[in-house]
Amino acid sequence: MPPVLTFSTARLALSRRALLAAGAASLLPACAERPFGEPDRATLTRVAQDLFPHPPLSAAPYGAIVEAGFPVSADPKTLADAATAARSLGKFADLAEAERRAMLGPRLSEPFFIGFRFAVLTGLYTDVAVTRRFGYQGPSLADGGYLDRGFADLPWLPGPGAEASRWPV
Amino acid sequence: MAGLTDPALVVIGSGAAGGTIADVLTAAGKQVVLLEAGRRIEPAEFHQEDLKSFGQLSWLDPRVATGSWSAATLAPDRPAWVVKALGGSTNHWNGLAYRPQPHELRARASYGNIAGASLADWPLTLAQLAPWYVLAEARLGVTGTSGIAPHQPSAHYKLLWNGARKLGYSRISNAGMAINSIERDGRPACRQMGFCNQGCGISAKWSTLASDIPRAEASGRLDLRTEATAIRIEHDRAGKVSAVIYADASGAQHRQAAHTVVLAANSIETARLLLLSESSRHPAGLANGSGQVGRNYMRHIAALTYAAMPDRVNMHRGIVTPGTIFDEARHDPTRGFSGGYLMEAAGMSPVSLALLLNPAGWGPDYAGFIGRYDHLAGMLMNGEELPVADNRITLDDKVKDRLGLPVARVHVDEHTQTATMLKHFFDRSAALYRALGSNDVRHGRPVSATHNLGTARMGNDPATSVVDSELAAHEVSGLYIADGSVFPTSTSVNPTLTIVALALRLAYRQAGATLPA
Repeated sequence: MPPVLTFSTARLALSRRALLAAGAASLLPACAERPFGEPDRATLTRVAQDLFPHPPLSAAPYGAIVEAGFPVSADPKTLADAATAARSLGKFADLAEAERRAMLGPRLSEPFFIGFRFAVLTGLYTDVAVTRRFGYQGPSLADGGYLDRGFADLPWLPGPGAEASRWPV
Repeated sequence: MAGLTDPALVVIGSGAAGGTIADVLTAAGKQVVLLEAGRRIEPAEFHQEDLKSFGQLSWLDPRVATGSWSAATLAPDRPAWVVKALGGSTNHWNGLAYRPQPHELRARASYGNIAGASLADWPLTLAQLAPWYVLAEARLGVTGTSGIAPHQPSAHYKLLWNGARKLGYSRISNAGMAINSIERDGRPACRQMGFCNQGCGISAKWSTLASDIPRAEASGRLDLRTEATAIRIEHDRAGKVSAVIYADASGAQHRQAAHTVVLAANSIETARLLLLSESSRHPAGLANGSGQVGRNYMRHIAALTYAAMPDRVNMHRGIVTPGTIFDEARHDPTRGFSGGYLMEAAGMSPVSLALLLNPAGWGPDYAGFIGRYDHLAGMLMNGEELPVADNRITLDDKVKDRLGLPVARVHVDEHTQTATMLKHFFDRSAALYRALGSNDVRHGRPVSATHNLGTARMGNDPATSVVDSELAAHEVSGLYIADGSVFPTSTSVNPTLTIVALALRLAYRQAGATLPA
């Protein structure tokens, strides 16, 4: 599995309910017979978009996260789990947005979707091509920081004088 | 390298306390053996990407969290976010170098007897410590002190200041920061890069990695051993410290003879090491005849408020915590709690904000908030957390580290006063952003603790404390404890400056040196 899925911060998303659910993974349908394929990728890409939707973005960055998480070279169990999870959602991508959300909510405490949510969150919000569209610029060292690139710009509020830098206060 | 059988002065931990002490003692002509569990990571290797940096710098060895706090369910194996690397948590601290208020060092006298809390007065007053704060501020290059100019206010700080004025606050500043505003101490001026918590890539921020340790190395008297994990402190028949057992990177164990041991491993590991060092003379753990080792573990009461503003803020540009409101740090029991809290403007990257604001957040509303990133502003609360005797570090009976030793179990049940202070902060911080036109304000609480205090309380009475006001263990000759574990109470301010002031006081006395006039 890629490091992003095994990263221990995934635990941030674990709740007591999730821990209980981890023991109930057998509730999922038995291991899929067909290998993880294009329809499954499409379903998980739709799930990724629904988890953290940003209307200006195409499906591409979400699809890339699914691709990175479940490449053909991934171990068989990872792919089987992904296929099982995707198929358990049925014709998810054909549903209306509200129906998809209603279906997804209760599933997010399952171990697969806890890991998947974490992978989408960290994959999407560390993708500088994505976050630049929100105004986040990423690493700044190579550009000399923001000292000469607008760190003090706040034209819509009055700037404080020296009283804002008194010490001690 | 000093001979393993030659009794040495051994410092355990190279962070704010250990790094400072190693520098002062070697400068005074003493030989020092410095043991650091982490490896050396040079500033050029730091990552300006939160998750990569987290993996690079964090203490990821297992611990166990129990109790009512959220770490017990959301981060059960990682209750604290601290650094495992040369320089310790001075690599990821924000550089906020504040002195506590006089009444905070007299917490028991100032707040009275609070049910469920184990309040104590510090055995030192702020006046007694003042000269050591002056020295600490000069060493760290704290802006607004020592003739050092404050930084130019960033946009994020200007926004905080405007909101604070709307609420009628008057104690607001962007000074008191151990981040160079001018070239000083062989370190450059800040370039307003952001990423202060990921290790400053240009060392504008003070750290023992960038400042004290290289100086100690240049003295020729520092014997630095990295990836050296102390696992036991031994004593002789007379009860005096005699050695430190440590494991190297391969797990092989070594015994360094010692005449003096300064323990500064951050509160959780400091308590764990004392508990691991039980002996027939100290059956409950070294220096633990009082039963106080591990008790009164405190974090700060931490919370976050983020708001979507009517226009751009770009909070990622510049110093991560660019300024603070001190008005709510006062002790004013009419608010329903004792002590107070700081309101610290705090930039956060999209990924950290999405992880922390709501650990289970998803959907169009949550993503929409993150997507307004360049309009977001936010702050962290740093509030005084009351000491509670049963909030404590013990040895876990099941989980073992790579050396087969029991890991620290960190138990916290939050005092009832915590919820009252949190609500006050959420109300005031929301009011601040609304006063500037925000109609979308959100709150959260970080899961893991970054300030770890208490666990080896300083006091005059050996029955109720572990070390005396000289940081000497009551029960073990030659053993000193010098990190935040000795704090009897947490105060409302970030702890590093106080840790350095206490460490300087100890080091000067060990060196037989007097304070510069």
